[in-house]
Amino acid sequence: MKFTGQKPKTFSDKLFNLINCSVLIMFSLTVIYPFWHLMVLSFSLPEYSSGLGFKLFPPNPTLESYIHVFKDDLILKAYLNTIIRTVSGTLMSVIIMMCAAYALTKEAMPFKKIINGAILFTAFFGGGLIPTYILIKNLHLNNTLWSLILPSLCEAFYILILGGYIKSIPSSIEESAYIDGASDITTLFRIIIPLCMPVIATVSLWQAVYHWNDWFAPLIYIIDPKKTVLQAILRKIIVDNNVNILVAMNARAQKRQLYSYESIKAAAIIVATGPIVFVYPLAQKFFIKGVYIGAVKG
Amino acid sequence: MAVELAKKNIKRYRLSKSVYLILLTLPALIYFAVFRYGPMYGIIMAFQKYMFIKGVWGSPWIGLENFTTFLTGSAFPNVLKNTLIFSSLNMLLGYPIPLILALLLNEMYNQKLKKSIQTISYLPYFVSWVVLAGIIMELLSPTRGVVNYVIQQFGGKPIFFLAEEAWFRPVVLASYIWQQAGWNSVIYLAAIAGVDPELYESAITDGAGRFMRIWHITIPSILPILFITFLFTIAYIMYAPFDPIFNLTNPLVFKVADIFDTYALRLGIYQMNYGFAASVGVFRNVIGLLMIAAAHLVSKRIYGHGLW
Repeated sequence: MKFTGQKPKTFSDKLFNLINCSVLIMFSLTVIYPFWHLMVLSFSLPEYSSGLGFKLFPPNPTLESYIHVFKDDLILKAYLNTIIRTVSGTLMSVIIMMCAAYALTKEAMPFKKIINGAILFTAFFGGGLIPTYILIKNLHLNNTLWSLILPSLCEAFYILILGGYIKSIPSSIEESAYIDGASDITTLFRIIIPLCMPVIATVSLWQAVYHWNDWFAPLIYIIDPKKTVLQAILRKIIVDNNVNILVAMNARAQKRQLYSYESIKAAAIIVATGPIVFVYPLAQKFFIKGVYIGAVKG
Repeated sequence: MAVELAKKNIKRYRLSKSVYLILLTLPALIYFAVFRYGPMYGIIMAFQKYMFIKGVWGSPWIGLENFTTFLTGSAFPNVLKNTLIFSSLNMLLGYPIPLILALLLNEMYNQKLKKSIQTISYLPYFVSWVVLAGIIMELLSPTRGVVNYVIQQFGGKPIFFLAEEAWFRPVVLASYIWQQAGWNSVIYLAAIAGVDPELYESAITDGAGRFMRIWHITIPSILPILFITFLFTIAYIMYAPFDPIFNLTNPLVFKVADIFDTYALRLGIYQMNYGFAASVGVFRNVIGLLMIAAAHLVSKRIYGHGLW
């Protein structure tokens, strides 16, 4: 029986419940409204989107802004780059971290204490942005997709979480696998990894979200417009207020046509953020479980 | 003879197993060596008049000059003040809010509604700050924003929030706390769900009301996690939230907006004063590390085990 969240019986219970729900619903509205506002803008005609006030419904919904965004070469290329970066970055990260975490749980691992300490130290102290930037430049990785993937390949914290979960797997499972004749690698792939799916899913989600949303690394490392990612373009559109990087907008600017860039901005944002907004509710199960594990351990 | 052979085989097995384990760790080790420890070596830049053409080996050594220039310069008190204000206000306001959110959610009866609100609450966490900055700029716009619309309906004059020094900090703080609230509440909800129901049972039979139950049972039961998150907030006091500030800042508000990172970034990458910018970063990281180490020791003293 749960003793919080029971059906409200007394009057004061019902009153509290009413107030509680109202407060929480109001909070939810502060989250929902900004995105609703964006959606309305993205479907709007220029004249409407320049007006002041709450936007609850576009009077003349149009797909014009979306068409401009989807037909734009820059955006399409950036979408592709973002997907490539996210998928390969996350995949590489998880594989490398999982292998390392696994090896570090074995007593037979040489230099275990030193390596653990060295990895942990990086969680608290770093070289800083400038030395990292110089390093990437010296490795001639700047202006490549690698400069976006490699610097964030491993996180000490994630390795810790992975290792913690692996340790919680009873050794009897591994031992029976050995007795059945499985080699180390087979145990790793056939048994340990499937058992670790909750934490692997959690860490993958964190890395994927990071890669999808990262705007900073592209900002300082990528110069070639063909190699850019979605967030970098969004940044140019939003923060630099430069919509003319989009082909359609540039053409209109040449012709001196008036066009409200708010709708385009909104459409671009929706197109870039849409995938994440759709995916995260589905992935909820995983990261909540991951947090449970982290909280229990901590 | 057989024993010797057996010993040899065991040694060989152990060796091959060690090699195999090292191979598994190798990619991660290479990564840490190159991308984490490599830049640490680059910290030397902070002590040099760094010139990119000459690199770390060729640039002249000027010792602590970068640091003294920075610490005695006009920017330092500002940058330090801004960083500390952001972090401490974030601690003051941003710490209780996720907790309150978790407690309120926990008191909900309608599970479906609770789940929906929970899911909605961490939507902002999954959106990049570029997008969030765009949203904020749109909502706070002096000519088109809803906030100014409401202000005008009440007879006031529109406020250009993001360009005014007085408003910049509150806006950044509020939006940062709003973004993190849902996500941070997940940890508290997980901890609250772990509280033994029997405690509540006996409290109810003793006649304890809702708030008494929260204050006397829920909170004390999750005290460990509350303490840890609090310590983390203090430990990371030198690390003000970079993303919102960097995306919302503009020259009009540099005086209240600049934190260590944004200042170092401007000087380093945009003005190419690498040595100086590196010294800003080193200074911040060293003080930050000291704070984290202190927090770890405090945690060890009080709870028997540290932050890690």
